[in-house]
Amino acid sequence: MILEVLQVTKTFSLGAERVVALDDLDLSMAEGDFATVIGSNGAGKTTLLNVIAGTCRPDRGKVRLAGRDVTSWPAHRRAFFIGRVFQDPLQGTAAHMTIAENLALAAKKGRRRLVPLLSARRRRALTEVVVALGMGLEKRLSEKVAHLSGGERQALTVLMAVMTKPKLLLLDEHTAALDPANAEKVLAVTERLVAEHRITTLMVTHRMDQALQVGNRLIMMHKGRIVLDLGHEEKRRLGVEDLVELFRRTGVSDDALLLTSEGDGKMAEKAKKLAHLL
Amino acid sequence: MLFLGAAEQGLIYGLMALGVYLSFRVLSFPDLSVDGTFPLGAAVAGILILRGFNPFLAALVGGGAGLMAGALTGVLATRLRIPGLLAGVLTMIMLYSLNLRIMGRPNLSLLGKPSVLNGLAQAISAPRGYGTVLAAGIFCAVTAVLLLLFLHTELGGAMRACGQNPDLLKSLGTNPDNLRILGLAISNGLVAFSGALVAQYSGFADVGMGVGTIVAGLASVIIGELLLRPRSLWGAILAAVGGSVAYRLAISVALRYGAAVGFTASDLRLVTALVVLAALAAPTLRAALRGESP
Amino acid sequence: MKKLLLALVVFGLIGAAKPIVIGITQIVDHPALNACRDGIIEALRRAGYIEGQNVQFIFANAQGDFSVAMAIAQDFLARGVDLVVSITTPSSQAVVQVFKDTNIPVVFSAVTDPVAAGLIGHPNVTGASDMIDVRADLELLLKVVPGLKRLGQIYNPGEVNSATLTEMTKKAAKELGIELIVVPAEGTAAVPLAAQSLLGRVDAIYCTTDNTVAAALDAVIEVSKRGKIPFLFADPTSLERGVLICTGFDYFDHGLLTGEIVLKVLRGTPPKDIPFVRQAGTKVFFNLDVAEEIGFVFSPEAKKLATGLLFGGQRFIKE
Repeated sequence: MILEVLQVTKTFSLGAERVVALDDLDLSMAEGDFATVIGSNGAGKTTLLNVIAGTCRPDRGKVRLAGRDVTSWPAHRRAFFIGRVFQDPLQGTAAHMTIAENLALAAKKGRRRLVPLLSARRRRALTEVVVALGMGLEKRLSEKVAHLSGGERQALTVLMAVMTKPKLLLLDEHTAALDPANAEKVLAVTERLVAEHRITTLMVTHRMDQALQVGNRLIMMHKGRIVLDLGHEEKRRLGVEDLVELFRRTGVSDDALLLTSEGDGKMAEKAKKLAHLL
Repeated sequence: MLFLGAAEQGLIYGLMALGVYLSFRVLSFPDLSVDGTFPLGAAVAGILILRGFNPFLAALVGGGAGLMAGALTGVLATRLRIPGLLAGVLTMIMLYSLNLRIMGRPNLSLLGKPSVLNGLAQAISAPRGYGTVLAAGIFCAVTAVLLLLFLHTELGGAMRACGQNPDLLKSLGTNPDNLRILGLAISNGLVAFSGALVAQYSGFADVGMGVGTIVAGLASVIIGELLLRPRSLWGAILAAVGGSVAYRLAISVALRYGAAVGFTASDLRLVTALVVLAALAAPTLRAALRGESP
Repeated sequence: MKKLLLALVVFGLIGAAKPIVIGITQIVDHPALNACRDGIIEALRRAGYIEGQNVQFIFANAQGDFSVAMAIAQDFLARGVDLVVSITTPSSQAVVQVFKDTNIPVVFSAVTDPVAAGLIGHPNVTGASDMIDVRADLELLLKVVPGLKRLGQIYNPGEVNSATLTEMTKKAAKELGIELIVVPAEGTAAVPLAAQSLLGRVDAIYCTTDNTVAAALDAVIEVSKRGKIPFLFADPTSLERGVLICTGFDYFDHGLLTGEIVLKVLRGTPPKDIPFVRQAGTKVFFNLDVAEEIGFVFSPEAKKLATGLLFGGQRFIKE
């Protein structure tokens, strides 16, 4: 098992209110799994990623990475096993530094030494890596990242996250802030890099079509729990409106999600098909 | 002649400006402890020189003391999670008493004592009158190059990223706290070394000579950026030193010609603060003028 | 008639020469230092040096910034002043550092310990020290306050002049067998608490020419009155504010003394032939109004030691 989340609970207090973000949640991921995660706002998706990455400590439960109990490890220590891409294109890179410098930083995790960041040899190696993105960035290595478009930055962030071949890749709605064209590009890059390096991936998305098309597993969260965990076969057979129906049945009502459905007409037809899934 | 003195001061204080550049711009950490580490370097170097130590070594040891004080600020701010400004203020307050203890009295006279600036000037056979400015220039140049090289290492690059995006470093497996502690140590080491040189330049070390260091440092860095508009790392480093010279030049000009327009030395502080304020507020004001939110 | 003619010739000669440029620098704007500066100008004026005619003054004030003190000194050198007057230790140190290898005369003022400040030993430097006679003050207290065993002193350890005087107080107190309790006050805001901490612990309070105490004097006066503790302050201009005993000298007089040195230099005596002078002629004032207020009695023998008395709001000076 690459990832084991065991009976994790996390509660936040907002003034007088207490919000249960994760409610006794269990999750395991085997090597090679590519799971998409959907759920309404407040379902706990980002909290789950934070608990796995170590930027948030659970109140109860354990997290294991590659067989090791990392529950007490700080985020920068877990980073050896984890690559992460955020929704905000600004978060994954150092904007005032060049593409080459960002890649050089990402090329090696952990101890930073007093050696040149960009030796000639390293620059050559990085150029090869960047060519794989297919976005022409190898010609712009000395440009500051701030000058890249949002899509290019996210693609770069994905590349930086997978460069050291982490055991687990966490993607937190990483195409959500991009326009459709760039979102497609970045998603394509993501899928390609993940397949190439065979990285176990957990991808949170708000788009149900994306959740269905990408990966070999689908996880639906609601109020801090996993309410649906579909394998590859089951996933393939579902359409978006099926998912919407499943949402309804589990008590989820979220307009944003519902709006991506195809239309009510086919609902009754599918209802029979769904019966045996639940 | 007017410019020579300003150039001398600008270059000697330029090392302090480089230190403030490192903490304020690279690490994005406004470090008030420099008001205490500047005289710390002066105090340590001062008593060592009075005991007969080589003035260059004395200055280096003074810089070393600044290194430790800067690391202290870093530890306060990271491990103990004390807000950055407070951490700097606490260190500064502690150093006031420490500096008094080190010197044994509030003021030490170094008049007539050996100075590394004179020593270096002699070593390079500088023409009369230009010894100090050339020696100071050499110190500045060497430090600037070393700083540039450092910022281009893995460690330096990580430090640069830390100032803008510490979370990125966490996800790259590096603890930003350690980088901040190291960065503040180096920064205050530079400031203290500058203080040691200023003491030898002025002929005395005084416990009160650090007051206003952070403002002078910020003014130097900011004026340099406004004048030179650097786009590269090397440009930014040069701008910090250039700004320091420009700042001291402005003071000299104000002293010389200010009386004619009713400007006195008392106004200098106000003007300096206004310059720093204007430059710090510039991004916000510019955005407001364009109608965007900052 | 002859005297008048001579005076006219002298004035004429002074008037006909190019105006002498004198640079005056001080570290901060401060009443005592300003008084000193005024005294210097007055001394020169009395000798016939009139601003705008035969003398030109350049005033500069570093506002507490030591780098500006250096810049001022360099500015004076660049302008080619004929003589520099530096008031207080840091300004003097900066000036001497800049002018030490020139032959432009430097006259320092209001420097408590010029030797420790490194100002002595340069052929073009001389001046006036404002060091007060601490031991004499303590001896006065012993004579005037019966049964004096414990003495309190408030000072700012960051002021070099003050720190020097406190060291001297410690030494003198030890020699005279007085127990000295020293309380530091790093700024004017700390003075009230420092003063209050002496209540009930001391038989008398003695403060030297510390600028911080001077700025917060009312707090010390209030405490001394409240605790009915005799208070000796080394600044005679403070008598009317409610200090029981004032010794020392007026900084204006110190300025006059400095001015005399400047005049000697201007008239041709090289500074190296003028050893630095200490302010002499310490005055002693007793405030009988405050004495009545706190129930303190000056014995007739004690009264003989005063050079002046304050009574009914009026000063009475002994001839």
